[in-house]
Amino acid sequence: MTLPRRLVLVVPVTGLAVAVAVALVMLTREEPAANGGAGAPTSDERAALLVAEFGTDADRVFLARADDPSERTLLATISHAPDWGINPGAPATTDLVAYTVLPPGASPDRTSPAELYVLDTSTGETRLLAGDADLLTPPVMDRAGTAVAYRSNGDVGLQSLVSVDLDTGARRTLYQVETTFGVFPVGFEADGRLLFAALSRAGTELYRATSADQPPELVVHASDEVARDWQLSPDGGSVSFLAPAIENERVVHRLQVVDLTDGTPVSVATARPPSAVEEFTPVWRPDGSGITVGREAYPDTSASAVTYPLGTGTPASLPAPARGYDVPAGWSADGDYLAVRSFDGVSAQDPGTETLVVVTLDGKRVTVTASSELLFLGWADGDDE
Amino acid sequence: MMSKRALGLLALMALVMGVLAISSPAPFGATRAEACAFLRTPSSYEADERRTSYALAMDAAAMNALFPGDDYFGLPALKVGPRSNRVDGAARMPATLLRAIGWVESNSAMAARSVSYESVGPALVSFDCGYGIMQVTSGMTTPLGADNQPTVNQARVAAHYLYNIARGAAILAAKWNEAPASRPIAGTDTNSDPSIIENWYYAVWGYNGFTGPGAVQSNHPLDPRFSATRERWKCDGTQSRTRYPYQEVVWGCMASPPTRAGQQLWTPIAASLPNLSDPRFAGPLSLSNFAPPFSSMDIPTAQPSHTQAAPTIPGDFPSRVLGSPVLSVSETSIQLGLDGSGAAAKATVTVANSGSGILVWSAIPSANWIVIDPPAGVALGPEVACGSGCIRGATFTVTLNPAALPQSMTSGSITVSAANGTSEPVVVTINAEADFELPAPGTSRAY
Repeated sequence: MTLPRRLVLVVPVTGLAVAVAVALVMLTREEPAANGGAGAPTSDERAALLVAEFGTDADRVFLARADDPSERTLLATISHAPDWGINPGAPATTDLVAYTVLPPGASPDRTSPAELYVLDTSTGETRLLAGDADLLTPPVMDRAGTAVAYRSNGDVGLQSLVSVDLDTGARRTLYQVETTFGVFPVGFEADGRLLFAALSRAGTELYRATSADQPPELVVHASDEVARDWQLSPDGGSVSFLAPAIENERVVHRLQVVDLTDGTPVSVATARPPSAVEEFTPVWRPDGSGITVGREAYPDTSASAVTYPLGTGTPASLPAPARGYDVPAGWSADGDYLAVRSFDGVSAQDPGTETLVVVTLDGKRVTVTASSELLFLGWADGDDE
Repeated sequence: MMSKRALGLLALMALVMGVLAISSPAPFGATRAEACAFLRTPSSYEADERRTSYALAMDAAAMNALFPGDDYFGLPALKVGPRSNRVDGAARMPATLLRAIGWVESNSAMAARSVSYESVGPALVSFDCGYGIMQVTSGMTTPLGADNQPTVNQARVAAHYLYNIARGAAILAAKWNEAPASRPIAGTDTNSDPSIIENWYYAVWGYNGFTGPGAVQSNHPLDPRFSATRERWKCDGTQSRTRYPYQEVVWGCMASPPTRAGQQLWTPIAASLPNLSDPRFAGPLSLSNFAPPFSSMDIPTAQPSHTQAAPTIPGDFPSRVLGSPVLSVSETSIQLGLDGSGAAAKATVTVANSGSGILVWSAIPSANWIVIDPPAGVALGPEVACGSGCIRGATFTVTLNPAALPQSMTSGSITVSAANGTSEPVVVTINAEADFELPAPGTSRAY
């Protein structure tokens, strides 16, 4: 059982000073071998699925062939506090993947300050960026791989969104708020401004922030409830998310797409799902031509993910599991492969067992086998798929 | 002008602090338990690997059979009924809840990982002052006794599994009883009956922190940082805690108990979670409702619901397990000195239990120049299982804190008390002699 941190703030000032000094030292040194890479993958291996396999004390990051995930190369081993695995940001668009993690010496509790890293998938090396991150909030990276934004927690509900310049290591606080709910980075716009979602009793709103000195700009009121699963379009001009709605006395989530220039809805050619069927986790096609969402199997026993074209066109169903449903995780850069979290149950209330599966446009489904939880981190760049 | 003695004390203090600073690296998030009820970690008893002792204790605690009527360790009457007419009900809860919580909190361990089963060693203490099996933090973050010393109850919680489990159960019961004044009710359609496991949803959530979606300690099931669809928690070490609200982890462990020595630690109960697609649950969990006293968050019982047959607790269980500890202490007077004084710098005192059960002892110094380590612990009676390498008696060391010595020759005492049983405290007299020799020119003996 835990108490709010402010109730146990009896750390002496000297201890704080030592911690700050150690933090500064750690921020400027290379990551120890225990968290280091296992060597740079070959060029063949780089055209691959990037996954993290959970371990009690350390997660292992692999590069696996999309068409045969059993062929995989260990890229890095990331030590963490017992039972608390890494929390990655959005799938990588460069060689870098950002993640938060409770370091091995930290108390295994979600209130502990997490460390923020980037993993270079071309070398397997990790780089520590910060030691004050919120573990549960996924960091976001700009498309060029030059900056990472993360959430930092202070006392009495103070939350900060902080940007780290990957070239200089310089940190900038872009937004700060005292809240009993939460703020989450969504992504960077092309001009470097940070998009973030904020929860409050009024619902979910999307803002853009330039610096902590200026009030953030409201982009759109996304929902009176919890809107979730935000993702920027490949061109950065739009953002997709899910917002809850009530249909036939069920609460289900529905895909929304908003133009970031004016907050207006973007037209999507949705053949709307059967009424009261839940949708899961929209992901953009790499060329920005459409958005793929998962659908629960309920009331049937299986359902495929569906790609909705932007504008007009015909929605396209992907190969369905024999039983269960797929939750999209991310398309490969060439658009040939979709990684999905596949559940053999029928709904979020009855999800069954989860596996990571690679779905191909030509109808194949390849399961990534593992003895413990697998996280999709992204697709490594490459050209041999 | 500062005296030579004072200079010597200052120099020695600086040296000690320097050594401490060098020998105590503080990496990010390093575990710190110093700022808790005890300045140093007490010792405690770790029972059998199958957790049989703990399971029986949890059954008894769930039935309020350990310390009935005790304000601190007994269960209060649990409130029953709708928000408008909440009345006192029976003081009992589903025992499997306690077993699962104990597992989630500590892997059902009373002592640190390094301590063998059926043995004695440092208590399990988390960075936020969570002690033992139930990781009790309430009342354990600072010393609450006179002169900034720990209390008897703090020693009991830290050192003895029966008290720790009983206190954890009492805290969980208090979480239940926070409704309706400051928490929502689960089970609006079942009279909020506490014998229904699903009705403990909010109380278990509160045991870990009843905070809103997005907050640092959020256990809100609709928090967008948790996946909208997630496998059930398997409680088998193959999943990361990062992706689950606390109460779902407890629910998962109830359904999939861990196995030790070929046996499941409890009978599985696949309790239901609120159906978040059902407006009867999703509506109350709406963002707009997350505001004290959370009266709009009341929910019906998740279906299908489950109850658990009340375990049979032998009437003599508490007295049999608690036993009749009797305190005995090896020393009544100790002479200590610093370098050059001629007396030993450290003394060891042995505490034994000449009665039965697990004796909880604590040693309280009369002055802050007397350093005791550990400050509390246990001594085992002859009938308590004590495996290979286990020592029934306890020891604590006594040293001097030179920076706090009031003068070069002084005396004080340590009061060794039994936190359970009926033994009278034993006072150990400490005579201290300090002699300071520093290599710097111009200094000499400080007295």
